[in-house]
Amino acid sequence: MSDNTQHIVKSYEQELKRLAALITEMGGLVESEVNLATQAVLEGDAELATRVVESDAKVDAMERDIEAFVIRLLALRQPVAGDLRQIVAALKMTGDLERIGDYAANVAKRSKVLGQYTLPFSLAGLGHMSRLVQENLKAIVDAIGEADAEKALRVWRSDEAIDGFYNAIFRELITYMMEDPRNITPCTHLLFIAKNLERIGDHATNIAETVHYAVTGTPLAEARPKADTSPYAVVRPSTGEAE
Amino acid sequence: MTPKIAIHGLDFYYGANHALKSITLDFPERQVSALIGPSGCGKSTLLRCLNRMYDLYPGQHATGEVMMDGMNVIGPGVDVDLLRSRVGMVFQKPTPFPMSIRENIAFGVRLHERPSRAEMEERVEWSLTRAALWDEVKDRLHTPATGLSGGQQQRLCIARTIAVRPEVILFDEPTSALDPISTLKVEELIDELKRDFTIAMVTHNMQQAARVADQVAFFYLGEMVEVASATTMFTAPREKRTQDYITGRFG
Amino acid sequence: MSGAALTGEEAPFPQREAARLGRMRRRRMQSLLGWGLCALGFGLLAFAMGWILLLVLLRGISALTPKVFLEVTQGTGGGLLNAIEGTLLIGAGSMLLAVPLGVAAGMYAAQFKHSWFASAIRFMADVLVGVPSIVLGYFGYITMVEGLGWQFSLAAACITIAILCLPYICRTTELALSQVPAAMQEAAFALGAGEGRVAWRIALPVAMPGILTGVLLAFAISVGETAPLIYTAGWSSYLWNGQLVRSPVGYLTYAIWAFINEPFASANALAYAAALLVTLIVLLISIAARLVLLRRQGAR
Repeated sequence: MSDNTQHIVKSYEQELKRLAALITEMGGLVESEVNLATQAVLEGDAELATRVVESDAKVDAMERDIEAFVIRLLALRQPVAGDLRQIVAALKMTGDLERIGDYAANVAKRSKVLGQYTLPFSLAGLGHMSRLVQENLKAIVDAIGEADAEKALRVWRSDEAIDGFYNAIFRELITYMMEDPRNITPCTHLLFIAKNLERIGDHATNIAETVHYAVTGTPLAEARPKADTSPYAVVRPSTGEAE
Repeated sequence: MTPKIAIHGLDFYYGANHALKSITLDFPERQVSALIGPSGCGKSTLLRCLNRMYDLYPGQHATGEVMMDGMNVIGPGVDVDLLRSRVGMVFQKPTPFPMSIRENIAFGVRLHERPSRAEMEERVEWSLTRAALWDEVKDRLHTPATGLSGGQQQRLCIARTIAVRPEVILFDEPTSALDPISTLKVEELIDELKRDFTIAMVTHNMQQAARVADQVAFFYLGEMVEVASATTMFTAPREKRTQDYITGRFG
Repeated sequence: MSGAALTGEEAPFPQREAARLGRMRRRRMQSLLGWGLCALGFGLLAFAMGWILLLVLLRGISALTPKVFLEVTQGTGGGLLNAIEGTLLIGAGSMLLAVPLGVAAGMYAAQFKHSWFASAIRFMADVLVGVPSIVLGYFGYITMVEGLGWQFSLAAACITIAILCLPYICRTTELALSQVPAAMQEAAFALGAGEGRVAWRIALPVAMPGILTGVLLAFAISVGETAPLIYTAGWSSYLWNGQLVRSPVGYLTYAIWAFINEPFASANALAYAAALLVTLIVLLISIAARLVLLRRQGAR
């Protein structure tokens, strides 16, 4: 991340490059996993869901590889300054990415259950939310590869919108459940799916913070805009004027 | 905190060679300040300004201010021998004098004081204890100092320096001739000594600066590029030149 | 070793292997030639020295009777007590003059290497080394024996020999001091020691074995000199009478020079005895100097 000056020790330079490549690769893998999982939900494609669950094992393996690689680098190279920040950031990001992969796998599994139901309502809200999450995830994976603190900052700020969608979906799903108890099972799964997507957004902001520190050396001090109000949401049975 | 030594606008010349360019830097009292940078960057030269070692060589001179307790160290009319009793120095290679261990310590003390026999014995023990050498040499104080190991010799040199009771101690790459264990012992010692002394250290070993120093200053081509706490210096230095140097990307 | 193993096992380039063997053979030849020349030089020197020692020893040992040490010279016979005493007196006296002066000059030249006066000292010392000793003897004769009216005397002899030894002592002192590690002197300065203290307490003790070696060698020269003494000490068959001037003194080298051509067996015997004594003294001093040097290296 130190501009373009080459390291005197070529093998070290190679290792840093390899680490960056590994993280980007893992980012790409996780990104496509999330894409496939949301597609599986929205299109009810069980085949896609199976692929996601399978590819998550690969993500987990990558996390272990990167972790081992980082520990080796720390022990053998005793990195400082920008190198240190980059290496520690890789360690943190690989953890975040692995969690994102887990959420994606969980979404995929739930999509299979959902497939057994015909839903009496549209999934438009969830579609919007997942598009936003995917955009953010793509942006942050790009920011990692390009060491772009500005892009990371934009991702960090835009998480607020995802939280907004989540709140809306939360209320919406509860309403469906109150309308018809037969909706409870699919809606509960959808609730978890929305929650998982929201968590993916949170991990993307974690990564954004990590990228920002790794690149600039200054931590993001200001409190992140938090708009997830669902913990305080109270939805009461309506007296008929709903919709 | 008031600095023990405050350098302002210091320039240094080896003949026509401008070796230090308008340096401004403070050395906080009872802290370890490390000076790092590539060979020939002027860090050792700066150290030699603080006790006026450059006086020994014709053609070298300094201009500017090196203020210590209200006195300009490099100004005219300074009693250099007295200054050096207040600003001690430990060198790269251990340089025991060709005398007994005890005499090595007594030599420096006698230059500035007339202690009684008992006082001298006490001083010898005190300084050797502070230098973490007493237990190893207390039974052979009268044997030649040249018989000690390299690491012991360096600690003897440190004892010899603190025996004069200076206020500031300058370390010029104090461990570059030592094995790793002796190096750690000296580092531990420096950490111990900073309770009583203000310490300035030149080192080529970046990890050492990170381990020992409170404040780190990076020098390049006779200029001071950056000064910061050791933590800031080794996690997030401000200047690109600093970052390139400490991460090993010079060029 | 590893290279041999590499080429021996793989030898992927036969021509290169042949060239390597050729190069090795050539190097071995050159090495052998060098060793041969060295051995020849050593042999010649050892032969010459052995011959001299043997000759002096064989002829001198029979002449070395207790009488030589107990009696003074009488005509062309008797003993050499007067000459032994004179040689030691001249050696001691000249050292007494030359050592303080030479060491001081050497210290100055070492301390202030770049001053014009140090260069002057160095230049004069070099010139003085090159002056033939007989010229120095003649100088002593003109200035002291004649000019000051001291006649043949211990004082004139001592001063002349002192001048002869001065450059050796001066240069060895300077050399020994300049080999004192600069870092050690810097360390002393850094403790707040002044120049004088560093020179006396640090540099001089370290350089002492070197200086002592120079002094011993100079002493050996003073024992072995003949020409300048003929002009300044004269010769006396009596023991020293305590007078510094106007009374000649005897010395061993004169006995060699004067008695070797006498037609008397007793005189020849005395010459050989004197030669053996001078050789033994010089040998002893050389060994002493070696020992001092050895001890210095041991201390490092």
